[in-house]
Amino acid sequence: MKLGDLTAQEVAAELTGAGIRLRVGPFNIRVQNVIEKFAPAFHFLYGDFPMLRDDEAAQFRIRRRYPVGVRRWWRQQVLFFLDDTRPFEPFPATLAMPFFEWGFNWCVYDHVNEFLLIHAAVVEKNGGGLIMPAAPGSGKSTLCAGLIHRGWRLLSDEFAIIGKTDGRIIPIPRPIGLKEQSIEVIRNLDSSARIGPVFADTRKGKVAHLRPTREAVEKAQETAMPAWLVFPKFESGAGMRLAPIDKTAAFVEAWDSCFNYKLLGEDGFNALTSVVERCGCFRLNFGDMSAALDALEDLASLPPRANAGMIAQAASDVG
Amino acid sequence: MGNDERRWTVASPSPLRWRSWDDEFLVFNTASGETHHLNLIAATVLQRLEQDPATVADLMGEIRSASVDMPGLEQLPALLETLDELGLITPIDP
Repeated sequence: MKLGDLTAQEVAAELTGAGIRLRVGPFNIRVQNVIEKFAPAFHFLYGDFPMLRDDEAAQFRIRRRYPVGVRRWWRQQVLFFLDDTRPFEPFPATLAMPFFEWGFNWCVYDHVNEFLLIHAAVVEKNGGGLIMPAAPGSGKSTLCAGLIHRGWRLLSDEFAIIGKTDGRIIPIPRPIGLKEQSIEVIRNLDSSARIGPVFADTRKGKVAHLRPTREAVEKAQETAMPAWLVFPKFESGAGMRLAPIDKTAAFVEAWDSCFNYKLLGEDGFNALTSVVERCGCFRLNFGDMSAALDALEDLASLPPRANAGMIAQAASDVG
Repeated sequence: MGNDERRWTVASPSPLRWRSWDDEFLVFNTASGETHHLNLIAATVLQRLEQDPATVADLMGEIRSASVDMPGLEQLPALLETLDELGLITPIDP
């Protein structure tokens, strides 16, 4: 049974009671929530995610409730709990959905050490995973959404989750967080894009979420082999340049984007070096998304081993 | 004993894990949990010291006799101090 099989009213009722229990990629979660504005957005954005059976335990048990006191009513605020831990200051009730996503991110990067976690957007085509590690503002989520529009499968907008033993990418196809102009970029690219409510005044500016495709959610148990490691950087008004980088530089840059490399010790070293070993490694500077998407599509059209030569030629032509 | 006569060895009996691409090397120190990015001469020296202790003169002689063009060889004493500071090697005869 999927969350979307329930009505919005049923979801709201369950959230205020025993909670909604979902499988989200490799994680089982339970969400209890009393904030009225959260339920419709959650129902929309997580509609394709499977609900847990009664005998399946939830790994992350998230509760959100109003504080005691005046902020229960005036400039209404909300508290976020993971079990009995409250990791964040109270946040405005109007931003319940983005704060749920950020809180869920925190649950993963602060608690998960059975996998290597890289801060990255990840998509898949023909069995090959494209990992795009990058800092906020680099354009990775916009590229991710654009590639999905072109038929790539969403693996994650936030984490490359790498298996420690097999080095494969484990999907967690949650909603894609779009910020500021990227919301309109994606709407213009795809008028049927299923984008949830827009939240104007978050700490990251204007934010909305793109609902993952049903296919991505249904294939959340299908892992992918890393094939390309691309470090994107959006530069307004710049041209497009996709250039190969050497593997040691790629390792060092990906290492900077890991949440738990050091905690994993030798397993982290083995997992990250295996990712770099398997991947063609590139830096992508772009000002025009369409050209960037074309270049990434070209990457996927050739076997990974052939990429370096082809792109080196392309880079010299463009540069 | 002068500094150049000291023998150096790896700092820990725990194994080092290596990965190299082209002439650049990554080494994971299983004792400290640290990962280091080394150039060719640093990796050559460290791999040599994994086998047996050696002095600066031993290392220079071996590298020169191998007829290897090794940039940075003249800075070998400073390199050994750096590897010591990183916790990768240690002098046997302080």
